[in-house]
Amino acid sequence: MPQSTDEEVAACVQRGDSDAFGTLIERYDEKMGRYAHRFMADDEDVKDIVQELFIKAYVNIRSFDTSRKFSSWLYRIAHNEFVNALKKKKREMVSFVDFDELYPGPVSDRTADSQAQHAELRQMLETHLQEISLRYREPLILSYFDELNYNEIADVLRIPVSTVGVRLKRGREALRKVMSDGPVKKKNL
Amino acid sequence: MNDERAQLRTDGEATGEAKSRILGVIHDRGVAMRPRWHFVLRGVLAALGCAIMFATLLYLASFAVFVLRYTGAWFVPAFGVRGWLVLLLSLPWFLGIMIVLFIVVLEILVRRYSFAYRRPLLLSSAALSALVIFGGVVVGMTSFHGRVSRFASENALPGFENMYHELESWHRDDVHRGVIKKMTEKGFIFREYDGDVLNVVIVPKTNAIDTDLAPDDIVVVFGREGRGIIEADGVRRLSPSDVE
Repeated sequence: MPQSTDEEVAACVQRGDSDAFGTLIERYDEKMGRYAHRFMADDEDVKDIVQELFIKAYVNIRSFDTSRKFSSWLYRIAHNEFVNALKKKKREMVSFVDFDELYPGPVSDRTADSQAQHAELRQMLETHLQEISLRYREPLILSYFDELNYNEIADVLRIPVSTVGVRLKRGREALRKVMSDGPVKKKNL
Repeated sequence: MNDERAQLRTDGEATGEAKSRILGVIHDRGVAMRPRWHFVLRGVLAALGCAIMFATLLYLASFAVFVLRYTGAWFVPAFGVRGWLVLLLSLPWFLGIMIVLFIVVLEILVRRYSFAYRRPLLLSSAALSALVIFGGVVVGMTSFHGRVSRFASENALPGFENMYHELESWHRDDVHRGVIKKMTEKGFIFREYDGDVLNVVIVPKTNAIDTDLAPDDIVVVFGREGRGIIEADGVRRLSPSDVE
């Protein structure tokens, strides 16, 4: 189904065409693998978790509303899987209380990024991503590597749209701080 | 470095292989898609939970308004700043705490919907609280609780009967609601809703919003009682619908 949209393919799967799910795997396996790699280093872990998230997507695909974007729905499942995996491994503190969600401050203006700045930030992220706390790391990944817009990131992380802007702004600041000061404690970022 | 790893993985295992591996696992394990009704049912239950929680909140908020109207405290802000202070002090705080707790639970329940999570928590909580307060006032102004109270006492409904019978405990010493029995030279004699008969004295400081009072008028009297006499700080006539 090369010409069909993700949503059309998902509708086929919902109707019982389980082989059509293979098309979705082909389209998203690499992206999900890359996304998972931002959270965990081990290749086997990544392979397992991506497999599990696709199985979870398959089991729950009839809950997907085909009038919405499939990629946001899949990233939401991936986010939950990765956060749960991190919690199990206790490698990262996953906070439930976030004052950014209560009342976000000034919002980042993504459109202000020039092409060059965007490329530069991507490069910086590649090198220093693990030194930034998960709270800021994830919106940066979704924005700079997976090219999701604010609304899509808000849907994946289930946070206010304005909080997405705040986290991106703080994430970039944290990144610049890491670049200038060297690695510091994650909680301070 | 992560991209290098990802690249290695991509090189080592083509996407096509991942597809056959994952589809193979799905077939081997006999993984089945959950039926649509499962999600519809979950959605309906979640919506029902929100609706029940909202209805409970409306009930509690309107009951608080009903209590304030029953004791007369609802009407005293007409007498100025002190009236507003008395209204604040008369608020049933236990109900207030319960309402706040229920709003927190409802906020958690509605956070699963995009109209809630896409907005700041403070904004959606404030909107929800405003909706509950507005709805509570609207319902509290109707005869709903009066009818529930009568129904509860006639049918001895457990819980509700006590709830409505204990309204007396909310009564304040400086707010009195009742019916004028007789006009006197200095004021009037009136019977409070709990049966007490009091002599109300109108003095120059009395803020009498309504001056043409007559027997059988329902009034709220603002002022402290001593030995059956109230030197009124304020008097206001109420309409029968105010005390329904």
